[in-house]
Amino acid sequence: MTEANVFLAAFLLYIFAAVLYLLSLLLRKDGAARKGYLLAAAGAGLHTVALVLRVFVSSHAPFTNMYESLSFLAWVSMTAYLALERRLAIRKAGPFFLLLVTALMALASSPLMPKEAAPLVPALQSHWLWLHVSVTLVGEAFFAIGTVTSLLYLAAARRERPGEAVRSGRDAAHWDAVSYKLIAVGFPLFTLGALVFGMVWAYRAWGSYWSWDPKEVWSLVTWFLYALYLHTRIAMGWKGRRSAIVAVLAFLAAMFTFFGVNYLLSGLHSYA
Amino acid sequence: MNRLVRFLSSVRLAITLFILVTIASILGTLLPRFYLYRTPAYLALLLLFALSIMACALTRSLPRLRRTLKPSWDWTAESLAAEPESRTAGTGVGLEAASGALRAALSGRRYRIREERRDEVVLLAARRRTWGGFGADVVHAGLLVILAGAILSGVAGWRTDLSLVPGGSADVPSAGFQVRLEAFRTETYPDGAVKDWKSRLTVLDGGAPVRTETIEVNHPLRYKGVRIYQSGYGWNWEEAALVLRVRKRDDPSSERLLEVRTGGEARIPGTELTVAAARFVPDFVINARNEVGTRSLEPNNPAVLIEAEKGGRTVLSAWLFANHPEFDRIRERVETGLAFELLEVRADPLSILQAAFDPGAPFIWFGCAVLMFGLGLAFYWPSREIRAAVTARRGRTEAVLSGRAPKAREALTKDIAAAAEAVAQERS
Repeated sequence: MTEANVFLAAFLLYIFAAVLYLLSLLLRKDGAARKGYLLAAAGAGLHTVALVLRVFVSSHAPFTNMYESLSFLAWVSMTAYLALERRLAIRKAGPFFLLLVTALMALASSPLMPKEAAPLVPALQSHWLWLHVSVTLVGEAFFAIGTVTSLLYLAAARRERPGEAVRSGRDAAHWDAVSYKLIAVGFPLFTLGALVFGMVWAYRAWGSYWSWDPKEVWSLVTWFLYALYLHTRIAMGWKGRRSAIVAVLAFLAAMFTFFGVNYLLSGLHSYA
Repeated sequence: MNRLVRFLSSVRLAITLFILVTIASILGTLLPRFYLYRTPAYLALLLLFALSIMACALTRSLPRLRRTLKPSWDWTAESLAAEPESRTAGTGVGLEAASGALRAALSGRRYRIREERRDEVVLLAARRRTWGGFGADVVHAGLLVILAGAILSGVAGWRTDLSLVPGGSADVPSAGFQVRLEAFRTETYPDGAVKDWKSRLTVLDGGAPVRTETIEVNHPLRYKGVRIYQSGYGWNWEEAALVLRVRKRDDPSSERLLEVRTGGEARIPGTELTVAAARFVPDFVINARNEVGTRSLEPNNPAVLIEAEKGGRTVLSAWLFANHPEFDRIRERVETGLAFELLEVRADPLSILQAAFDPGAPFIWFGCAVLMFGLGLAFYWPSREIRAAVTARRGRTEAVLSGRAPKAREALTKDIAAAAEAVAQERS
């Protein structure tokens, strides 16, 4: 079994899991979601194998080009979701979250992404590669789940009418609280991985901890937007709709940093 | 002064600054590199940010610290009952027993408790993970240290590129020492891609060698606070050896090879001509103003401008291209009957190093450590604070509880409910 086959198998399991979660949402059957959870967990298991194989084949960290990074982000996000589904009571976010993971996997396997394991350019040969990218992406995985729950908040709040549908009102408050929790866990991780480890590594490799490289600036923009989310919530008491909108904007910035910067702006981070 | 501090410490200003810095930073990535981030307006924005953080520390953190060390005891059962988180529990037991039950319930939930007794009222201040409440202040202190470090880097730091050929040495400007390149090696993968560059460097201080070390990308050398980085490689085009092939047009077999250095000249054997390599570019390109330049420092399209002289008179000038022998741009003034080709270009590899002095860096690392510690406190060690007033009135004892835990609201609600329940369950 090669890495590509295992990756494909994991992808297919995620798709089946997404279908089951969607069915459970449409038919209001909890059993389907539970089966979906098991399939997603099996997919994540195979995905882990694919990543480990990748590390052995390429003999470097599994996030040095877009294909690898997308696959890794999908894997971290999936794993984080599976670990948190019960604890945070976010099963209803499952269908939408699995759609996001499937989209990341689809993007990773698109022909536009070169799949070959290329040897590392000199600047990337450092253990900081592992620390910088993995911690950043773990932070972003929490942001990803927090974004899905923020969107669910917006949807639940729209359904809510004053005086009716107490249940959806409770739903909305739940999504709001859960989104905050996820972002509050992700923020320190993102800060550590993207900014602190990024600066340490840049200092070792490029001789300067900050170079105003577009990816650096966009990481900072992402950080500012999440900091804005936290400040407006903690110091100004924002909740609900306004908070959810800031969370979604911040995640768009995170995705632009991850993805858009590489294709639209040139700079030092030209390899990933 | 007070108004200024109030303005600077307002959350509204902080939010406005967040949005402005975000928008400005995004604009900066669309403009030519570095430009916007060095403008006074952007720096002023960052400075205002620093002032806002400082004002916030003055007006919020210090009072909070004072309150934590010494509770103000300024609440009453009525004021607590008006708060949104409040719960009230009544019991038939006396003041002593009720407040004891409350204390036990709270300390069972790992709260640390202080108590103030007044007539018929017991006030309790209970805290759990007290220091978590200062996470935000620690984060802000870390950010200020980072900003101070960045200012120091900008004001007192410097960086400079050094290009060395093996055996060559160079002064490290404003560092007071020299480095000599003993050997330079490019390591490649089997497919030819660059794996690493390694430079063996000797530090010369006062002319005497003090240390020899091999550096590579990600592994700089450090001496007297200056770091020497391997940043890449290049070619010593200034002293490139150019091999020219000269033939008579009417007799292609009359081939002669000629070696000229960039800027040098050579006599063509069997003629009275000297040929000079007036200019060399490794990657020939003509720009919009019709000037010759080089696209890169790689030998992608090496070209040489040769000028031939006879008796002090230029008889020919031509651009020759190593990759396109069939194509030349000859301006011939006098018929020479000779054809020229640029056959080969030889240049020594250069090690490109960067010397950097950054006195702000230690502040940055310290600031980052403080920042991360603060984030850990704030988000992974959220504090909870419960205040209670236990009052005895007409044979009945009533406990009112309220609290604050902006980062652990649900947990606080549970704690308050459990403590209230404990009081209600208390029987004599």
